Amino acid sequence: MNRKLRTIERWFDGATADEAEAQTLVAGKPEYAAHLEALKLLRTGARSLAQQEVIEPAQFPAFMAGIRERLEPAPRHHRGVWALASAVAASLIAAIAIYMMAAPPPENISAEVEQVGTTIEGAEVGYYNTDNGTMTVWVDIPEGDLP
Amino acid sequence: MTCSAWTLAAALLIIPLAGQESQGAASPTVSVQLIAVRATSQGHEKAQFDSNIAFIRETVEDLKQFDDFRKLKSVNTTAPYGKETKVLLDDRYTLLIHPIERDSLDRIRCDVRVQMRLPDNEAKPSTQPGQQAPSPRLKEVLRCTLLAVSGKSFKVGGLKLDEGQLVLVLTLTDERPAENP
Repeated sequence: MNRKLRTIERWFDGATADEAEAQTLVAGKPEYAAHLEALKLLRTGARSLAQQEVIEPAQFPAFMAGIRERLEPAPRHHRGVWALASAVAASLIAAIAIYMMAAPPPENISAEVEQVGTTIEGAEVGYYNTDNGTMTVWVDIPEGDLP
Repeated sequence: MTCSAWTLAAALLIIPLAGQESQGAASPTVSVQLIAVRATSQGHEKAQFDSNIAFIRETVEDLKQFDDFRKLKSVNTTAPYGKETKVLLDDRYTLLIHPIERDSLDRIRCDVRVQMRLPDNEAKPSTQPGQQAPSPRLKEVLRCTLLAVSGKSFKVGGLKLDEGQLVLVLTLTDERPAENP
C-alpha cells in the first residue's frame, strides 16, 4: 500500500517513470484518487504560504495604524461620562439630605410627631396628618382590652 | 446719709426687682387650649357637634367612623416649660402636658401623656385620721412627644370611654415673639 502511494507521490513530484503505474492506480481505486487530490490541495496551500505580501508605501500608514490599534488599549470614551453621572448623583443625594434636615416643615402642618407609645398590651399607636394639616395621634385598642 | 449708704439702699431695691424679672424670663409658659370630646357613632347623616365646639369640625372631620361629638371638658390653662401640668379629664383619664422647649423653628417640643386610673379591685384599707389616702393606681395609656406649631390644633384620641371614644383637641401657644420670622 505504502509503495503504491509513494509511486503516486513520485509521479506527482514529476517522476515520469512512474506515470503509467500511477495513473492506473488512481483510476483503479478511489482512495488513490483521494490521495492525489490531497496532494494537490497540500501543494496549493504551500504555494499560498510561500507568497510574500508586499506592502506598498501608500498602504504603510494604514498598516502601522492596524498594529498600533492592536498594541494600545482602546481609549475609554465613557469614563468621563460615568464620573460625571456619579458626581451628579452624589450631589443630588447630598442636596436632598440637607433639604430634608434643614427645610422647615410644610406651612399647614400643625405638629410633627417624634415618638409615640402606649403601655396597653396589644394596642398600637399611630399618627398621621389630615388633608388640612391636623396632626392626629391615635391609639388603636383591641376590643375589650381596657377594664 | 452718706453716698455709700444711698448706693447700698439702691442696690437693695434693684437686686430683688432684677431677680423677679430674670425669674419671669427663665420660666416661660405655653398657653394650652384643650377640648375633650366624646366621639360616637349614632347613625346621623351629617356629623353633629355640641354648639359650643362646632369650631373643631375641621379638626375632626377625618374621623369618619364617628358622627356625633359631645364636649366632655374645655380647659384653658398655662403650662410652664420644663414642668408637667395635669388636667383631669374625667374620673378615669388624666392628661399631662410637659412643654420641653421651643425649638429653632419656634415650634413647641412637648410631651403629651394620658394616664388611666385603674379600678381598685382590692378592699380599701381604712385611712386613719391625719393619714393620706393611698394614691390611685395609674397606667400610662398614651404617650407622645411632638413638635407643635404654636397656635395650631392637633388631636390625640382613640381611648375608650363607657360610650364612644375620647378625642382631645389641643392647641399650644407660645405667646413670646417669634425668633425666626
